[in-house]
Amino acid sequence: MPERVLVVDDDAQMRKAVTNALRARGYQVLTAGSGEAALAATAEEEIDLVLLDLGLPGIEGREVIERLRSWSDLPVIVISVRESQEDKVAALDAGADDFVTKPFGMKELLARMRAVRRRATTDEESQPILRFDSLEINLPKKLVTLDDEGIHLTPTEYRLLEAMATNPGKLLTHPWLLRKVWGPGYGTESNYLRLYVRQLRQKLGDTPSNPRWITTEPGLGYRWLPEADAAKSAP
Amino acid sequence: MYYPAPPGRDNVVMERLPLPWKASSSWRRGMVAAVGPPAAVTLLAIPREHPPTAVVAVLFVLAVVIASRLGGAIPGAAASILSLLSLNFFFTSPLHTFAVAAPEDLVALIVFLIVAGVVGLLLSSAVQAESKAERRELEARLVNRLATRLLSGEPSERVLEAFARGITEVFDFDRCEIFTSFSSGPLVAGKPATGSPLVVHATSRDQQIGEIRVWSDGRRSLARDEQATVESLATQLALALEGTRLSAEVRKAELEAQANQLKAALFSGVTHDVKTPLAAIMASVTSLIDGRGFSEQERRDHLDTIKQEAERLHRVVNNLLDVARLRAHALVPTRVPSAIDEVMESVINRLRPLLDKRAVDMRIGDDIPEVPMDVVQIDQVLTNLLENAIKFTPPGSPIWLSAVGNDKLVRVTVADRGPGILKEDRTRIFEPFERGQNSGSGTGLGLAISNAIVSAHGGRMWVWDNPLGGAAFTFELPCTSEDPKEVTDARASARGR
Repeated sequence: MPERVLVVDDDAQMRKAVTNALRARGYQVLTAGSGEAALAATAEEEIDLVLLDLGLPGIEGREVIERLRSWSDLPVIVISVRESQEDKVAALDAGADDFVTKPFGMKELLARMRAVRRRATTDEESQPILRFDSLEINLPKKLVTLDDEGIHLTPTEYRLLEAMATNPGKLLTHPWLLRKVWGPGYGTESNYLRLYVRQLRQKLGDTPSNPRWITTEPGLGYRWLPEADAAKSAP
Repeated sequence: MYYPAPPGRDNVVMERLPLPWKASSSWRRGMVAAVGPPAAVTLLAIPREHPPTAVVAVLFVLAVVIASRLGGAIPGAAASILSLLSLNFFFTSPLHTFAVAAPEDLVALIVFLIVAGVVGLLLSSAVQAESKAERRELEARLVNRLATRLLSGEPSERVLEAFARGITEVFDFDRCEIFTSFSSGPLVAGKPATGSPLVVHATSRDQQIGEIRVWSDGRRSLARDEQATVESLATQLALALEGTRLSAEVRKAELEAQANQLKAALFSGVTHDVKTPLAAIMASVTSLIDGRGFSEQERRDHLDTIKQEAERLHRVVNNLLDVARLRAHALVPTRVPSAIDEVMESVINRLRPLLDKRAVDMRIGDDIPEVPMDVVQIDQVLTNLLENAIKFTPPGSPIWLSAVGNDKLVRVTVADRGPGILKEDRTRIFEPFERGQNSGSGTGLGLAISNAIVSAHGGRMWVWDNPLGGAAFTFELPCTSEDPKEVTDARASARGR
């Protein structure tokens, strides 16, 4: 059964462009031009994912997320022209799963859609061995090999790699990673995180200016770039 | 004679001349002038045995001259009469009476009176003329200083206050108030005064633009020529104010002309920067819509063009938005401690299609601290620098990026192997709508916006020579954000963005 996506944008051309692109990829698309219509659609229709503009007539996008989150954990990706860190953090805090700024490429949007859907479906189940091209992570044994050679990681580096690689494509915010790797008492020590990400990149042979594994979302967090070999197929 | 103004007042140099016509204690001085010289001559001459009458008379003429010089016309006349009486009483026979025995003595006395009177009158009128000239010179200097200082752009209230003080001091008024359309209230000099002031309007082109009020002490009323003086001061005040207003208008007109020039440059630059990518997009899209028989490679090329030009348009629009923010005073960073190397990575990643096959050498120093920055704005700065380095250098030439830092600042450099920036252009290129001589067309906004952003972060930006040849742009961001002004501004603008 194809995935059903709700596209919420007040601009008809934008709705049409995204709709056409998604239909070509096999998605079923519903559209809404206002916050009210979006909330009604999520209540009445079977929907798997919402693409939500922030600047909407009537109920604003951020409020749509908040209201939706009061009864549903339906994945929401914000698509907006607002690009400031404040706006992004506010939308993520309200409960959005990711943020794509307009203008965007469809390839990027589709990757983000796959990422949030994957998390939504495979959050609990864990695959024992993750393969990303030449990188292999054996989760039960905590072994990492690159080009068939073992890589020695410190326990913290390993926990960081595991946290990232099990959430491919997803925006991993500084606070989320800190709590996941260092524990619940952490959340603001982004300089720790930066240091360990740098070490991890060195050990994985990653060039930050042309990354293969980890990309940086400046001021927000990181993203594990490649999709696992087994999860690469489209919906 | 100049004395520096006492500290506390502004730096005005004020003349204080002992003026003979000044009213204070003049009657006492007149008495001394009238009585002193004749008495001195009398006392000097009496002890002599029968001094020659002619010599004594000449000495009395001298006494009258001195009295007239010191006291003016009336003391001079009084001295003449006293001298006559003394000459008659002490030195003509019969002695010690006012009777005159010899007719020639009578003639001598009459001639003496005439000579003394004429000399005294001439002298006192000369003295009066001299003091009038002095006063006019003071007036002229006062007015001249007023006009110069007003036109020099000094705060007009300060200049007018100094003017009021000058009036009270030079003309010995108790108090002077100046009202003008340039100041909110009266500008006052002198002590509190009672009684009604002399009020003189300063008018220019039949419009009242100011008013001078002066108070003199209750003991004397203003002489007619003093009134005339105040009126002339008022006229001069009006002229000076009018001149100031006109020069302010000229300045405003100049600024407007400059702004119009900038607007024209902006329009032509924006037209170019916006329409060029749009034209490329339209051309590719329409040929895809109309055309048939494109090879897959040709189709792909058209689509690549559309994508690249759309991205270029996006960057132009970002700069234009920043110009709008700058003009609305909303280009104020929302600073959050962030890592500069992360922003550099993300910019290079985004511009990778533009970099083509260029070598990009990125060097990040160890232990670069996080610095407070608006990542979106610093992204824009790096995007502009990198885009320039790509646009203005030969295809395939290498680009260097580096970041170093300590506990006070981080310093980022983007260097290329292009033609470099001429020395004379190195300041100009950071001004809006200015382009280096080696650059082509464009709005010339990128560097100006980047410079404005870096400044708003409390940092600075400059260009220098890449030692290997080419240009190197460097900017610094401070690790602290202790600028109270910026902090308050940031709060105001956070809502605006």
